[in-house]
Order: sequence, then structure tokens, then C-alpha cells
Amino acid sequence: MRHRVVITGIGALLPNGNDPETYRDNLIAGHSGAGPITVFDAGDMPTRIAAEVKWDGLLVADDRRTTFALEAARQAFENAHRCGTAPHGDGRLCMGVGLEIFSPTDLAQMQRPDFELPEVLAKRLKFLHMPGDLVPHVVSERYGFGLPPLVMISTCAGSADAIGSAYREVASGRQRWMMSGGTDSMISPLGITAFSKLCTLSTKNEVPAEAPKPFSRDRDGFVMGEGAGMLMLERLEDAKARGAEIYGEIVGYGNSLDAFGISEPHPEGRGALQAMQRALADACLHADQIDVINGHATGTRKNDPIETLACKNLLGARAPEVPICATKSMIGHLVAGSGVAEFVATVMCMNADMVHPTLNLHDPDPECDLDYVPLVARPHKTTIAMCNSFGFGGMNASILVRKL
Amino acid sequence: MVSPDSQIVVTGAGFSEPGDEGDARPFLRTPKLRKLLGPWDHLAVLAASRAIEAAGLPKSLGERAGLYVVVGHVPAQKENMEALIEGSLDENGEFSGKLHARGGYLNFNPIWTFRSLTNAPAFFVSSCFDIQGPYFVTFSEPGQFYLALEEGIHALRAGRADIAVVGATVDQDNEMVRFHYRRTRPPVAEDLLRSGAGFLVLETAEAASARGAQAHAVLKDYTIGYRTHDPLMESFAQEETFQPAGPCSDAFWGPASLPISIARAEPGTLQHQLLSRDGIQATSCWEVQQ
Repeated sequence: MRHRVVITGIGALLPNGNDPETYRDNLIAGHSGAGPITVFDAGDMPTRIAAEVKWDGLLVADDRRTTFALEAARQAFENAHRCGTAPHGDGRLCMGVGLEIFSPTDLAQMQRPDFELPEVLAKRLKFLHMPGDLVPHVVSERYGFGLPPLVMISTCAGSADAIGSAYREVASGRQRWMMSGGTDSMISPLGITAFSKLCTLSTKNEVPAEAPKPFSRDRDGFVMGEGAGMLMLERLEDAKARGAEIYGEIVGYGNSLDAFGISEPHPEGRGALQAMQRALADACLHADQIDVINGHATGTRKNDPIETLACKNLLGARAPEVPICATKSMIGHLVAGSGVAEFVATVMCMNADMVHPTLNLHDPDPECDLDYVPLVARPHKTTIAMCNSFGFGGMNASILVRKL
Repeated sequence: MVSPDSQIVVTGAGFSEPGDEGDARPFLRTPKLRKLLGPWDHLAVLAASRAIEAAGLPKSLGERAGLYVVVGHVPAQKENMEALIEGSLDENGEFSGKLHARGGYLNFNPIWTFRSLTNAPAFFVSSCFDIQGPYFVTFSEPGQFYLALEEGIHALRAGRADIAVVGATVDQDNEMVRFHYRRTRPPVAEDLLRSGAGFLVLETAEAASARGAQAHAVLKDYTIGYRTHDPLMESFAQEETFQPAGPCSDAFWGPASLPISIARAEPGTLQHQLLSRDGIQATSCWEVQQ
């Protein structure tokens, strides 16, 4: 028996909103979260802008990823309990986490002859680099989950895969409810350097909000973002029985491997198409039923035309009619956190009967000739939305959500 | 036809260690990828190639093959790490963001980004053997291998894949990983750390039988549990036993220990018991047939 899976809680700590409602409102209003980098001195680096979370609270373990994840989890958990009842049975966590970057400050310290590791365990594990897979255990402990967290490291598809796997856990009957999402923060000297040297970051430093330009002729890469999002997923019948507010139903998930390039997509968009087709097959839906797509839309030279091609191959003659929006145009690229950030955007806008805009799209690339909702949000009745994440290493994830 | 309780068999198993004679480079889709192939990628490709060959499968597995991979902690050699901050240290030897931003960042070799990608081994295995199906990639402790194994089993039993390539790769002969295991409580002695990779080809017994494949091993049962804990406040010593004892009994192979042990096992029953540093408790029993 396959259970229907619904979303009953959402948490978000993102560059243009510290909760899901503010995030939605700012997306619809076209408010960007990009600005000059403040978390370190970017000096004369080619890229000096990023989309930072505006967080003035304490940092847990002095770590932004952990802090963001815990705050998003808190919001989602409280949100799901707002009706006064708790989800049935035991929960489990499934999370996407980011790449591993070490601290150059700590590395310099290690080279000193009098260097000694800190005594306190938390400080020892934080020193030089804190393994990303510690974060899901910290979150699991906070909520007393009795099963090990599922940890996804499929880079830019990480949190989308986490949502998809969590959906499967509930749909299959293995779990009554799941907490799922992802977190990332790579706005650090080496994080920015690493992506900068790969020529994937925008260098339009003068007007940060205008730098991310997915599908534009003059796009020059993405703006690094950070943040976390978390969802509570449970069986439809459980959610109804306890009177929980339902944000939408996850109806399908598919993922695929490009098996092609580590940083370039398959030239025909094969993997992207397979992920979308598998999500549709999982949902027993047809491409004709898709009302809106939240694209991966990095704003890099290579990715946007291939993603456009894959969408055309999926949608056929309907391709020009289906709005495709680019959340990264406002919040940058959250890497492992991007899938959940964009999924939250999809669900929140779907429930507001709106499609948020793709900012800065004044002059589309001729190879990107679909409806990307340029500049201004628009009213749009959505029943079925697709959310896509196509990551580094050729890992592609696609999720379908239905409005109930 | 698959069912939720189809028996799972290993139709191919392979392992690799540093210094063995294999060469992963001929498997690369394009020579351009050679410079990006790090040690753990190399080990993973070799081990996967041996598992796939042992399973009697073609080198291009296509859409119906899924990939389930665990990697150990991110490796980095000391000289490569130090090169990243060269030109960014002030007169007191402290890292200076200003100096880094003024030009120190230019010392960063972009290849290092690829070498640090935790999903790079999975990428290399997928591209070398044209694996286009579903995937699950995770890290970094031995318990996670069981979660990857279980994801592969779910995919086979749900019919999402006909073949599940499940494996792990670790590169522990480097400063970054040695540092990590020095700081854990209790620490792991450097001379116990091993590098290697192990891969298994899993199929349902029905699918294996339908294509005439022999089982290398049969998964008799497995359990997965968890000690809920805050890893910043509490840590565990790893406890891992193999019955009978094997090559992975007296050293630390991270998540690669079980697949390597299965690949190297003699016919008979192999039992594995684990308390992983991340709190995952797991057991499994395999009937090794050939």
C-alpha cells in the first residue's frame, strides 16, 4: 500500500526571509537577498557579493550550517504542531548537507610550534573543519529521533534528494512522519575562492541584487547563497485525523545520474529529462498536467540552455506556456540547501496562487526562449508544480507537489 | 517480477587498495577527466569495475542501474592544504583575510575543488560505467554503508532499478583524515587507518536467476539501529567485528570495511557487527557462495 504524503510544517531561514511567509512575500515582491559579503573581508577578490542570511542570533557551535538547520527545524516542527496535536508515531530526519571547506585561520594556527588542539569535544570537532555529517545528528538529537538520519551529499541536489527520500519513507509505510530539508553555507574565504576559480560566480559586484541573471544573455554565473529549509512530511490520513494544516501533497520524485561531466550537464539534458520523467511516472501524471516549474536555473553559461532544452523535451508543444521561475535570481545558489529553498518557494507561492518572478531578466538568451516569468510576479492557479535540482557531478532530482 | 521481500543477492564484488596493479584511467569517459581523478575516485572506479565484471555485466549499465555510494572523510594532503594559504599569512603567521583577498586566493588550484567534492567518487563510477539510474550518496562513517545498502535494496524491491551498485571508498593516507581521527574521542591511531574501496552488485534473486547470474553471496538478514546523541557533546569508540575474522578486522577502513570484506570472503557465513562513531548500530549476515 502506498500512502499519500503531505507537508504539514515548513521552516525557512533564507537570504531574503527568516521565515516561510516573509520569504514568500519577498519572492513575490521581487526583493533580492544579495548584497556585499559581510561575513568576511572579500577585499579585491573577483567576487565580493553573496546572498547572506540576515541572522543576528547566536551561532550554535559557531557554525552557520548547524544554526540555520536548527532554526529551520524549529520552525517546521512548531508549525506542524500549531493545530495542537503532534504527528503520529516516531519521526526520522533526512537531510542534504554541503561540501567540506576548511578554515584557513585554523590551518595557520596548526602550523605554529605551540599549537595544541582544544580540549572540549565540540571545539575539537569544529577546529579546521566541522564534518557536515555532524549536523543531521545534532538535529536528530534535538528531536529525539530513534533512527539514524539519512544524509545526502549530492551537492546542489542534496536537499531535493532528501525531500524525495523522506517522501518515499512515508509513502512506503516505513515511517509515519519525517523531517526533511537541508542546510549550507559556503560564504567563506575558501568557499568563495573555490567557486570563483571555477568561474561559476558572478563578478557583477557593483549592484549585487542585479548580479544573478538566470536565462539572461549577459549572465555570468551565480551568487553564492546560504541558509536552510526544513519540512515536516506525514501521511495524509494522519494529518487529517489530527487537524494539521496541509501545505500540499508530494506526489512524485525521481532522480538520475547524467553519467557525463563533473561540472557540465549532459549536452542533450538527458539526466535532467530522466529525473523529471521519473518524477512524473512516480506520480502517475503526464507532463501536460504540470502547471509551473521551479527551475534549477543557476545563471551559468552552460546550465541554463541545457535546462531549457530538457524542459522543452519534457513539455513538448506546451513548453512555451508553462511558467518556469528562477528562485536563485533572488536568493543565490545555496548549493546543498538550494533544493529545499526552492521547494519551499514553490509550495508557498502555489498556495498564494502566484508565481514569483525571475529577477534581472531584461534580455533573454536566445537559447533560453521559454516563459521564465521575467521581472514581475504573476497570479497563477497551480495544481501541480515541479521543482528541479540539477547538481554538480551530474546528480539530478525532481519533485512534484500538488495543491490540495 | 520483484516483490517487497525479494531475496537480495550479490552477483559481483570487487575491492581495490592503493598500490594494486589496476588502472582506473582506461575506464574514464574522456581523457580530460584524468586530471580530476583523485585517489578515492581511482579506488572506487577500480573496485566498481571488478564488481561489475564479476557480475558478468556489460561496462555500460544504463538507466536500470542505480548507484549507492558512501565516502569517508574528505582527504587533503598537507602540502595541498598549505598551498591554499600561501601568500595569505601575515608577519605573525596568522591567516589574513585581507592578504587572501588581495592575491593569496590566486594560489588556489581549482582541481582541489573537485578533489574535495564528496560526490566525486560517485560521479566517476557513474560516468565510467554509464550508470543513469537512481542514486544515493552519503558519508562518512561505517554505519552509513548500511543506509546506502538499504537504499539499494529498497530500489530493487520497489522496481526502480534492476541492478544496485553499492559501494564505499576511503582515502585515509593524508593529513586531513589523520587530523580528523586524532581529534576524535577516542582517537584512531594513524597506523590503523587504511585506504581502499569495495563495491557490490546487488540484484534480486529472481533477476539474477533470470539472466543466469551466479550469486557471490546472499544477504541473509541485516539490522540497523541508532544511539541518538549530540556528536558535539558525546562520542563513541567504534566497535566492529567480523566473524570469521578477515582482512578488515584489525584496521580502520571506514565505510569500506564491509564491502571489502564481502569481496574478499571465503565461502561460508560472514557476520558483521558494528557500532559506528556516528551512533549507528548495525548487523548483517551474508552467505558467501563463491
